[in-house]
Amino acid sequence: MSSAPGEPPTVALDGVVVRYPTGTIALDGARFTLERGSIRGLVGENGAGKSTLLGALCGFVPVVAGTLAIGGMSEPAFATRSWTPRRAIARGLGMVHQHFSLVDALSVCDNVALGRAPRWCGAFYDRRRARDEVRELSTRYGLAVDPDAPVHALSLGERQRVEILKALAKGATALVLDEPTAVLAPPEVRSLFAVLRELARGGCAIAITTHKLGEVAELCDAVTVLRAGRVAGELPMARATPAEIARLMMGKDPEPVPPRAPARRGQRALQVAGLAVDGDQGEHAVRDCSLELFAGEILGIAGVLGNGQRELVEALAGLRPTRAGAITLPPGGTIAFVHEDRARHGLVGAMSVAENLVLGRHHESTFSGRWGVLRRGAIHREAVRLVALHDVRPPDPEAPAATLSGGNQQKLVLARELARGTSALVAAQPTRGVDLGATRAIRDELVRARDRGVAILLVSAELDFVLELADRVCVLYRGRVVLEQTADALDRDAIGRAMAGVA
Amino acid sequence: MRAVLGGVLALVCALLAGAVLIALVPTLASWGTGEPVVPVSPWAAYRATFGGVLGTREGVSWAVYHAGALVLTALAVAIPLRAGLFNIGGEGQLLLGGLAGTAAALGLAGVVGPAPAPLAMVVLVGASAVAAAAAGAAWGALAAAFTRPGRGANEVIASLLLNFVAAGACQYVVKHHLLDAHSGVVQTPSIPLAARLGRLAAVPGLERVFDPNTPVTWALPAALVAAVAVAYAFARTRWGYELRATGANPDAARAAGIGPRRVAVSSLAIGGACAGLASLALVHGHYGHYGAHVFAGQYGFLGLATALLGRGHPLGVVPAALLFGVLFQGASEITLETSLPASIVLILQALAITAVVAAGALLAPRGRG
Repeated sequence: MSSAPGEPPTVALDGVVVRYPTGTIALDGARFTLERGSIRGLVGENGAGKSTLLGALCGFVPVVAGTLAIGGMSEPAFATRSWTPRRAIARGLGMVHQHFSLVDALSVCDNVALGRAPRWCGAFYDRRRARDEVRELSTRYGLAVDPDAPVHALSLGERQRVEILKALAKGATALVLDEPTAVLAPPEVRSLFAVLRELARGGCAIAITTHKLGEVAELCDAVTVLRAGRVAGELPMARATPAEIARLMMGKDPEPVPPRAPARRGQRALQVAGLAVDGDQGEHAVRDCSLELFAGEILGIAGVLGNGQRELVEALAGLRPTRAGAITLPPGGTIAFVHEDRARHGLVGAMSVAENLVLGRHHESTFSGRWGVLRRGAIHREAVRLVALHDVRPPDPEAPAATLSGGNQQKLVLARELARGTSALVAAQPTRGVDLGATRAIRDELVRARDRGVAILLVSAELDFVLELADRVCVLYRGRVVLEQTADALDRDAIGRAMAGVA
Repeated sequence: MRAVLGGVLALVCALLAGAVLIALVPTLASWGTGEPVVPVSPWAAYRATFGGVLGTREGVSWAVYHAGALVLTALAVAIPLRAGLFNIGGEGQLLLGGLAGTAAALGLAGVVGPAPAPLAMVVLVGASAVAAAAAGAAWGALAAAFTRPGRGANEVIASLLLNFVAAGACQYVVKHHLLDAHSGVVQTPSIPLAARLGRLAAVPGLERVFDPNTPVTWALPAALVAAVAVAYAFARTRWGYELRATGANPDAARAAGIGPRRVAVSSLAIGGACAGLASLALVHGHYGHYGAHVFAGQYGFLGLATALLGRGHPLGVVPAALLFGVLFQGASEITLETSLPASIVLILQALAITAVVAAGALLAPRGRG
């Protein structure tokens, strides 16, 4: 049920200019419309301005210039200081952020009621009514969640539903979601999409940003492509192919993937035998997992998120105790890690690019002299070399790592881990939240490392990425390797079935 | 640069707010008592505080004496703070350091006895410093031992409670084992003259800057050297690098093979050593014995405030300590010159800290969205 012809769009943004305090222009005259009953995708490379545009719409980002009309009525407060999240909510705009803002210790209905609690005798919190409101909304839109469950006990997908409930309870008629699928496993993505379609059928106008073009094609009615803060294209989904969208995003045709030389498999670089690891809640996250990794090959670990990948990698890195089994490196063998949460395990955001590039290598005599005094000149030279070699932007070794985009942060981490010169490398979700250009750079780095004889264990929830790179694929399901295939005899269907737990 | 400017502005705001308070105090004090209001002009009060201290050689000397001790107790906070740990235990570390330093001086006095003066001085002062630093470091490391990084047990509580243990233990030892029975108060006998720190006023030329009758000793330049050394260690050494990485992102530091336990123990121990050394400025620099004066001084707790005012930077604590030294000394001037209570200076100190901390929060770069 798309909007009737002639009806003004629910949200019409035009000429939006956003400048960051550093002087960078994040948005340069961007245009964006949302229509009643329709879902619009907002796509672009990292740094193209997607999140900024949604933030500007909902009052989170200060806007220099631009106009906003809601339901055909011009909104004079927009692009002034008085356009705040509170006012945006009052106008029916609800935003679900990539990072949730929920109170973990409170229940679902308390979180939804927060700030707008139904009252009893004018003064007391009426929890029964709050609970009924949550029940009513969740049954109407298929947002299954227990109103009395404490938020800390919920999965990420359920927490996201609570965020959506919060926006709906505040009376949102337009809902914008920033990267809603980044943290979800495929089944959760499917149920999120069902909810969003139901909301659109109910008359809500919806916008989502995503890096995955397949999701846009599956869910959206129309797509807006941003490039460097400007609109590079707006098209209805019927006329948009993923290739066309990718061309608009990059501003050029994507380069064809160069064919790879077959792996020259060398000696064993890592052996995992009968490994068992417990998860955060004491569940058996990895059980009886056995793997062998050889020099000069990429072993891909495919699997739906939450099947023990994180626990496996953390156990290999010594960050998580193992319950049983053995992890064996050959004599003289060394191992490096690209962790899945780079902001948490990979980088110290407050320190400079140069200091991050020697993190964990700072003991090496090149960087650390007598009396434990650091050789700053050597560290700087190494940083200049690695930044140039791996095309980290901006090429400023003294910039704080936190100011880099996600893709460049990942390039930095990969540059450092490869520079250790280890015999094995574990790369966990290396392309998560990373744009197409950086994904390509990361893939090329991994292949080059493999051709130098490094043994690479690639753990990724993006099956296409795994299948494109891996010389051998193992499927992890409920903490076990349930299927192993080599690249020359891949059976995609079998892999899909194994990931879903269907034998 | 921006942070320094913000800090200065914040201090000006604190002084303005203090002025309003000073103007109100006489009215508040006489309220309900029926006594006539004796107005105090804020200007006169500030002139008494700052003019009385900064206008005389004696006042400056005393302020600088306090500042020397405060720099060291502030470092005791600033060093672990960079590793993400809040050391509330400076007071206990100072008390134990003072006891150990005094005991070393008293114990070695008989051994060194007839040795020529310069050698006796080197031995006594050196041994006292080593003992004080070691005791402070041990107490700091003990706080770290109770702390299990990432497991909820907390260095704030551990170091805070260890203060009470230290205070009780020190009182006990002085009362029962080191008491100077002739003095009539809880204090040790005087340490030998050879263990006393030399006064800066004895250096030719400096007598014009420092009053020879005030305890401005070599502890002051030593404290400044310590602050510079810590700043250098933070920026240029592997230890400082690991400390900063752990403080800024403990998970990434651990993933990079930096042991959180070693960082916690070393930062709290070195901080504790600084607090222990601060006792030398008091005992070996001023009183000549260990007892009630040291217990009442509260330099360990004031070091917390000084470190906060200095934004936790090892060089920032130097101007912060100087300001507190002036206010500390100003407290006695203000009661002499005006009818205001000495506690007004405590309020000024609190206002200064609040303003600087608030300015830090306001000036911090805001996150997007």
